[in-house]
Amino acid sequence: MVFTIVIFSLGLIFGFFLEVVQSDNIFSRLVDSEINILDEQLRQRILIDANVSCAIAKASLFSFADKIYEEAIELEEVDSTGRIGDLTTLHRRYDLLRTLLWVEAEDIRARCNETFHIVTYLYLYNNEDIDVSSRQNYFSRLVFDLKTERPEEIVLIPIAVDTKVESVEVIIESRGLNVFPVILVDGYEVVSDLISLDELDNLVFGNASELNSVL
Amino acid sequence: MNFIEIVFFIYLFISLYMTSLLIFIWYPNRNKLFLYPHGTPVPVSIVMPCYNEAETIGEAIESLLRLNYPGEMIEIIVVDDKSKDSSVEIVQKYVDKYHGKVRLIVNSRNSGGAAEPTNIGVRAAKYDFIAVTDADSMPEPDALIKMIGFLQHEPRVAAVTCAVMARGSKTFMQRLQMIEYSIIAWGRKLLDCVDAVYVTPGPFALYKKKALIEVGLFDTNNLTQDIEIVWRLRSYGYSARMCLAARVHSVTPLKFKHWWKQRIRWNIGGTQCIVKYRSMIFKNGMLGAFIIPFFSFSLFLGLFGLGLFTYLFIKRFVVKYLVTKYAIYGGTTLLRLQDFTIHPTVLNFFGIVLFIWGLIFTFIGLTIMEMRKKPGVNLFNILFYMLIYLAIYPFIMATSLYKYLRGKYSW
Repeated sequence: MVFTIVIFSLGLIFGFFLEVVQSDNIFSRLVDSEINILDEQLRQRILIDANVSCAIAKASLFSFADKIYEEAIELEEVDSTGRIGDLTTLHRRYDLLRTLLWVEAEDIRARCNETFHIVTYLYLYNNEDIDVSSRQNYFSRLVFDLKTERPEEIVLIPIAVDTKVESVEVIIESRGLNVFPVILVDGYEVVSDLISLDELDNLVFGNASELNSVL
Repeated sequence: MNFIEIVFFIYLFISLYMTSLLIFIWYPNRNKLFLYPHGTPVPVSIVMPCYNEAETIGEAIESLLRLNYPGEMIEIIVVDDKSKDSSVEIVQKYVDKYHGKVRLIVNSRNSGGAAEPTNIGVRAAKYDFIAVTDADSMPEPDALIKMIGFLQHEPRVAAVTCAVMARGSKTFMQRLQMIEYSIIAWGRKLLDCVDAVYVTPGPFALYKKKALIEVGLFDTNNLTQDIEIVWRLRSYGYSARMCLAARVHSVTPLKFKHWWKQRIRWNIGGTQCIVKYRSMIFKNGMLGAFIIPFFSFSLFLGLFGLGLFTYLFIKRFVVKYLVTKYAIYGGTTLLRLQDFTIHPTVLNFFGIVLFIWGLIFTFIGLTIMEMRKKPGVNLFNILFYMLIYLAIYPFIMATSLYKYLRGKYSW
């Protein structure tokens, strides 16, 4: 009986410890995301109010976008560790942040004579469908490879569309998007069918007419 | 956590719970496992059903003749189920040599199972205590004398089983079965500590004839009459015990094919028992409180787990296939570093704990059964047994259930 209680207590303490460590980790990420959101809002105001040059604005945007993208990958890794709690709130905050980034990127792009491209990858966070999973996995590789090939010319913004972020839903509705995953190029070119890396490259950097048959 | 993760958690919890339960039963009882009540030799009829056992039956009879038990208190009744080989001729030689002590009865037909010839033997038996043994099993000389006391000292005990050890280590399958049989024997003794023995395996078991007659003898429709009889005895208020100090060595299947067939039979028999005694769940003491729920739950978990595993495997395979196909078409990276990154999950952690716990359980069992230094019992075989051999069981369960539902099964 004593042995049972000891083992049970050890398990309980260890489980508690494990949860505390993970909760701290999540809390730290929540704080980070909070800081990032505030940072992004402030950055937008500074870029507009202070009339910052396009070169600086673009560099700042790319740096911030890359940082957010890396954090998103880390978040996916944390999520895949099967934590007992729910990470949806954290995902929503990051989706909100990336939506802010998207809006800001479109502003800077318009202001800076379209010297870079915005590739927005919209996907489903809660998905069990095999076909959708396969397409999402492929699309994720596609945009990742494109970004790797042309890191200085593309802002890559992946956003989950089903985490109930109001602003994301407004954007999706306004653009008439209802099938996911999709890749949006510069806010208007919609890629929902399977295309090759070369075709996506052409679509982003020119020769878009070649894609009509595919899209 | 999603649904699948929750299901895995439940599986891990149940596995950890059962392993821990058995270890916690073992610890306070560790010095009593090999104890047995000393009995007084009384006449015993040993019934040996036989069908095409020419290879081993001579040796099996010899092992009975070597029992450390007063010779005049033993009769051996071999009941042949219309063998096609030379079993009858071999037994006849023993009948001629040990006239009156060894008897041969030839069934009028091939019944296709062990229950009918066993029942014939029980009815023909002269004595009040019945030992049932297989024609390919050899009890150790002191097995009977160690077991008899259980029937003499405890009025409600109607059946006694012993440790069935695997005989032969020629093939890899046999070596794995050596490990399995040792763990089963140890586990059964632990269940005995909480009065939950649910089977008296055919290789060597002892019964009270009166109780067997009262409950209607062995069920000829069940493929595992040795499980069914214990459940029936328990449903009549009797109990069954396990004598770990007594051992019988039984021939095990040499090849996977024969092993698979044997295990299918065992599982169909188990399913037949669950169906037959389903109304007794949560009734009749340990039978309803533990044995039937344990069997039913194991069957459910095995099948559900297999279904879930198959679904996840197919889904993963299809997704990987499609992604690779798309990647080849699209000229993107086929494999990324991300694909090889392992993120240990909470489930992984619990899986490792369960594996270590299972390994400890297996090592304790093998040590107690004095199997650690036996040829063929090495780390590789133990790991193979734990990771591969046991993982085959859900497939056996699924096949058994399919055959059971189709009604196409035989001994």
